[in-house]
Amino acid sequence: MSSPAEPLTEKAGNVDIRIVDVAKEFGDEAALYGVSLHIRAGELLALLGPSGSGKTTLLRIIAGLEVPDRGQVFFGEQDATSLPVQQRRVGFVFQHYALFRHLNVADNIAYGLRARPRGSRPAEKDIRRRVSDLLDLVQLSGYERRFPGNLSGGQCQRVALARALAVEPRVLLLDEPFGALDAKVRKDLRGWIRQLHQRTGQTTIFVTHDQDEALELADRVAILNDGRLEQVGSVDDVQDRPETPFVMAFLGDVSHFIAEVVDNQLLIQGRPVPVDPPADLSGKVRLYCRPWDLRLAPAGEGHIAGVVTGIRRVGSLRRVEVTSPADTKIEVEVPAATDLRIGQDIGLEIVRGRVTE
Amino acid sequence: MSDVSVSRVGPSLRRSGSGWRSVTTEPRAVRWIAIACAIAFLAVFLVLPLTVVFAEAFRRGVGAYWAAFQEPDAQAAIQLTLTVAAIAVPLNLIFGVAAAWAIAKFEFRGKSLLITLIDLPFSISPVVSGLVYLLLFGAQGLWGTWLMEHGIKIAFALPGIVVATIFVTFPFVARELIPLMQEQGTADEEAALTLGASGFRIFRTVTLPNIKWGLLYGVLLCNARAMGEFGAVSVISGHIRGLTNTIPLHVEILYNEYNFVAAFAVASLLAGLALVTLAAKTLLEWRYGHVLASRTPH
Repeated sequence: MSSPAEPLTEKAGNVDIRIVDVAKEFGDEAALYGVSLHIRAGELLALLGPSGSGKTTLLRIIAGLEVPDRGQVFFGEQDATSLPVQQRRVGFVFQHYALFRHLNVADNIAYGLRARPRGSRPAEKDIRRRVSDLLDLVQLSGYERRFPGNLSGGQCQRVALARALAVEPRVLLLDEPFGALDAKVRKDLRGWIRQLHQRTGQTTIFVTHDQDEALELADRVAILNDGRLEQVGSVDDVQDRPETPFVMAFLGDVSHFIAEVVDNQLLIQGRPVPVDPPADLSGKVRLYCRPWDLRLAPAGEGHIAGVVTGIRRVGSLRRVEVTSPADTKIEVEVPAATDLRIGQDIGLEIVRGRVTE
Repeated sequence: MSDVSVSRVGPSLRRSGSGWRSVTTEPRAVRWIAIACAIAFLAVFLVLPLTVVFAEAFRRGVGAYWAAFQEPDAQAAIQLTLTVAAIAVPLNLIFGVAAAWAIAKFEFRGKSLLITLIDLPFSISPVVSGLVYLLLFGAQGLWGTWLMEHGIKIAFALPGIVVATIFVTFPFVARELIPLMQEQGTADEEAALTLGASGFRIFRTVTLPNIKWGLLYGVLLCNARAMGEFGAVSVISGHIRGLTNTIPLHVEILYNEYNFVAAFAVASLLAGLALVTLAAKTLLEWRYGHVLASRTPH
C-alpha cells in the first residue's frame, strides 16, 4: 500500500486519470495505437466500442493488468505506468464476477482488507462493520453467509462491486459489468449503479459495447474503434455532434445521401435542404441523417422519392423503411398513428442532418 | 421432465399405443440391449477379476490369509511400498501443481513441448523407463562408476525405486489440474491482484482452494499407481527379497513359486487400495458435489 497507516474510514479520495499516448500491440486482436484520454475526478465515463476495438485492453492497462508498450498512465500527479497492480488501489469488476467460490459473501468482500500488510490491516471488528456497511449499500444485507454458487447473476455482480469498493479504490473500473445478465436485471443494475455513483462520487470507468447502456449511464462517452479513439464527449456531444462517420453509424441507425454544396447552400437533386454545410466545403458532400431527422411527405414532394418496404412498431413510434430508386434503404421514424401501407409511393423530406466530405 | 416437454410440443408427437415418449429416447429394446452390453462388459472385465482376487485370497480361510502378511518378506515389501509412496507422491504433488500452474496461467515458448513431455511417462513402456534409469545409475551405467566411488547406491536400492516411481506417476497430478486450471482462467487471480494481495497469498487463498478437489483426486490416482507400479520398479529394483521388493514384485515372486493363496492375499491389498481410492473419490463427489458443481461459471 502506498500509505500504510491510512485509517479505514477516511475517504480514499478520487483522482483524475490521464492516459498519454498509450499503445499496446498483441499478436492479433484488441490492440491500441496511441490513445490519449483524460478522465476527470468523480466522473462516470463509458469506454464504448465494438468488440476488438481495444476498450477492455485500455481498461486493463489503467488497472495495471496489462503493461502498455509505450505511453503513460497518471493517477492524479503520480505516474502509475510502472506501478504494480496491488499498489494502484483500483477496484475492478469483471464481466463474469470472478468471485472467490470457496468464500462466502462476507469473506469475499473482506478479502482486500484482510490482504493488507499487518501494519495497515484493520481490526477484525472494523472489517466486519465495513462488510456490513457495504452489504447495506449493495442491498444484500443478510447474505453474509451465502456462497457465490447460490446467488443469482445480478446478486453476484453486486457482491463483486462491494468487494471492489471495500478497498476504497481511487478509481472503479467495470469491464462489461452487465454483459452476462439478462435484460431486466441489466436495467435494474444500471439504474442502481447510476444512483451509487451520484451518492459516492467515485471516479468510475466502465467498458461496454452497448451504446444505449453507455448513453444512459455515463456522464461522458469515449468511443473507440480499431484501437483508436474516435471521439470523447458528453452524451449530447457524441449523439448530436458526431465527429466521424464511425461514431455517427455506431450510435444508432443512420442513412447517408450524396448532396451538393452550391453557393454555401446544400442541395439534393436541385432542391435546397435546411442544413448549413461547413464553410470550407463545396461540391459533392455526404449528408448523414438519423431516422428522426427525416419526415414523410406525399409522393412527388420532398427531397427523395421512394417506396415503403417495411413498417414496424418501436415503442410509441413507427419505424418505416423506405427504399429509394437507387435501392438504398432509409429508416424514418414517424408517429404510430401515421397511416401507411407497404408498396406505397412516398416522398422524404430532410429536416436535419450532418454534412461531411 | 419428459412429460413436460412432450405436453408443450403438443399431441402430434405422441405415438399411439406407446404412450409418452421423449424425442431423444431410443426404443425400449435398443435401450435394454445397450445397458446389457455395458453391464456384461463391466462384469467380465472389471467385477469378475476383482472377485477372483478376493476369492482366491480367502480360499484356505482367514488364517492362511493372515499368515501371508506375517511373513517378514511380505512385511518388508509393504513397508518399502509405503516408504516409496510417501516420498514419490508429495514430490509429484509439488511438481504437478507447479507444472499445471505454469501451463494454465502463463504464455511462454515451448509450452506445448512441456505438455508433451509431461505425457511422456504415459506413452512410454514402464520397462523402458526402468531400463533408462538402470543405464544411468547402474554399475555399468553412465554415472555408475562415479556413484560407486562415492558410496552412493541408487540402482537396486530405495533411491532407484523412488526415482522410477516418480517418473512413472509424474503425469497424474499435472494431467488432472491442467484442464481444470485452464477452464478457470486467471480472472480470480486478477481480482485478488487488484484487491492488493501478494503472489503467495493469491496462490494460498485463491488458486489452491479453487483446485483442491481436483488436486486431491490427482493425488489419489498418483498414490494408487505409485503403490502398484510394476514394470519400471521391477527393472531398477533387482528383486532383492526383503530389501528391494515392493508389493507388486512380492506378488509376482509368490505366484511364480505356486504360492497362490499368499500371492492373492498380498494382491488383495492392492485391489483393496483401488477400492478405497474409488470410494474416497465417490465420497468426495457426494459430500462436496455442490462445491465441485459451482466451479463452472454460471
